[in-house]
Amino acid sequence: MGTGPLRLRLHLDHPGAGVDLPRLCAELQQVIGRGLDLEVVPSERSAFCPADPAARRALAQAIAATKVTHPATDRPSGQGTRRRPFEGEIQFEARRLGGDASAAGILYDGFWLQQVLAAALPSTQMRRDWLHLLLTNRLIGTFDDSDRRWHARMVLCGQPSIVSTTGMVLAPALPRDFYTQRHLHEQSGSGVLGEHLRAQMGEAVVQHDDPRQTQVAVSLTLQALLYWTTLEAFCTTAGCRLVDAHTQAALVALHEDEPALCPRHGHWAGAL
Amino acid sequence: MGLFAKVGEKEISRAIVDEFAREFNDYAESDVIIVGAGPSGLIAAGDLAAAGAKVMVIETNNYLGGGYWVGGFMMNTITVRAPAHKVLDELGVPYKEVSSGLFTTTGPHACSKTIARACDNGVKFQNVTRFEDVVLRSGIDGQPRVAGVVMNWSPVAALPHEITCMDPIAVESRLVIDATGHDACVMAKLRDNGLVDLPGHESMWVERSEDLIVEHTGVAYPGVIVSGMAVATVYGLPRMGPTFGAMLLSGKRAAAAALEELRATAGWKPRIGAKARA
Ligand SMILES: [Zn+2]
Repeated sequence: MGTGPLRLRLHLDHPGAGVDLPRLCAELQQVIGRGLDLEVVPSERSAFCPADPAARRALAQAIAATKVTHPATDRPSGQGTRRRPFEGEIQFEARRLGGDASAAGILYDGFWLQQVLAAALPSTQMRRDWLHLLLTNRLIGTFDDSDRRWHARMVLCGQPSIVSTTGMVLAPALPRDFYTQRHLHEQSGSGVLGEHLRAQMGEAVVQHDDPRQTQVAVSLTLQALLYWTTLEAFCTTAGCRLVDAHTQAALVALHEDEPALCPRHGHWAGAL
Repeated sequence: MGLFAKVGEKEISRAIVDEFAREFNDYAESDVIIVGAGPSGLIAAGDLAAAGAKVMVIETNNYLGGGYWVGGFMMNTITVRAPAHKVLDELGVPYKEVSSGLFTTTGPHACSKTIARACDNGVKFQNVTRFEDVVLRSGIDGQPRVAGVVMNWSPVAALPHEITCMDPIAVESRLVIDATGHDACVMAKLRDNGLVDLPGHESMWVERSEDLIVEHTGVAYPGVIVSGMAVATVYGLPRMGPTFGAMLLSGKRAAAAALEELRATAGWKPRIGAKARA
């Protein structure tokens, strides 16, 4: 690494009520210590919500293009049958950037979105000692060539890294029965029931606006930092908060008490 | 001496024709044409007229209200989730809070008050009238812009083919609001003409589509604002059952978006005498 501390810049994009930002920052500082220069970038200074109307519209248009509207046929980075966004989709994204919209549920092509956001960053900060991280409720997905399907993700490492609070709810798998039930409800045409079905599972799963999202966000941010500094994607030591949780049960268990790093990653964090 | 004033049949007929013609003539050009008089269209109409916009609502049925009269399973209790109950407050519709944040009222009460408020605020209703097409103009940027609708009496569509050479009529407006429910007739027409490429319905990972419907309400094409359930169709959001809260709030957003557009239009002034509110 360089001589100074690693500059981590957090950008907020409606992460939701589950994330306690001061606690998130305090926790990160505590885990990493002086090796981290952490700043929450206010939206008026964030490259991810330009104040200039033309720049904002251009970014909105680029983001709208990364929507996955036809999961069966859309392929990464605009391959497949992807449409060009129409005026309303661009205006919705512009409203989101301006803070007038915040609803989640649309799936975005994660790596394409990351490219779009990277292009908005000042070139002077595209350096190894700067890591930008977007904490968002946008749902991001990546296409898996092995099963030819889109999968929701909690975190995408790289510059900028993306941590998705909606991904914490939707990405880790639930028992098969949940999806069968939800599918049946979807067939009945109600959009509210899927939410109720999940709410009924209570604390067994991470919910929308769940306060446990703060600790999960800390883990995922550490995962992004680990990748950025070592190219190591996650940990395989049981109990380490850098373990890649594939199921809600695993994610909840990992964050039940005091989530911790394994000795090896504890050492990594201290040495940053 | 009878109960009613002495008026001849021909005077009654003339009164109907003259008054209709005078009003129709006036509304050949309006600020906003709202297609569809369901909950979101009615709320948008009432808000816009209150703010001084000249509003005409066209509705294919003879009755106004669409699906507003009855809730799910044809039971006329309708539910709204907070904060949509504030719209009921505004309309003066009584309701009950059945659990935290969940309110019930009756369809007839809510629907009739919403219609009455729109009428009181000066909205012109053109019922038994079907939307047939959009009027397209070249906008200031040279791009096509919707500037009105082509419409016809609803029964014409039901006539046998050989006698349907009954041409429609065009009316102009600065904006058109598509509040036609799942059909999204106005946007579907633009799609059929190759002017937009709509996503269609494919399941997304959405579990809270009410929020998305409200927040997607707005300009979808130059000159067109989409409101209510049509939003789900246009943006490919999951279809929902009766969800009146989203319809009411979407109607309010549509009105706000239309006012913003009108205020940015050169030469637009709110009508004098309108019950303009802040
Ligand atoms: Zn570890």
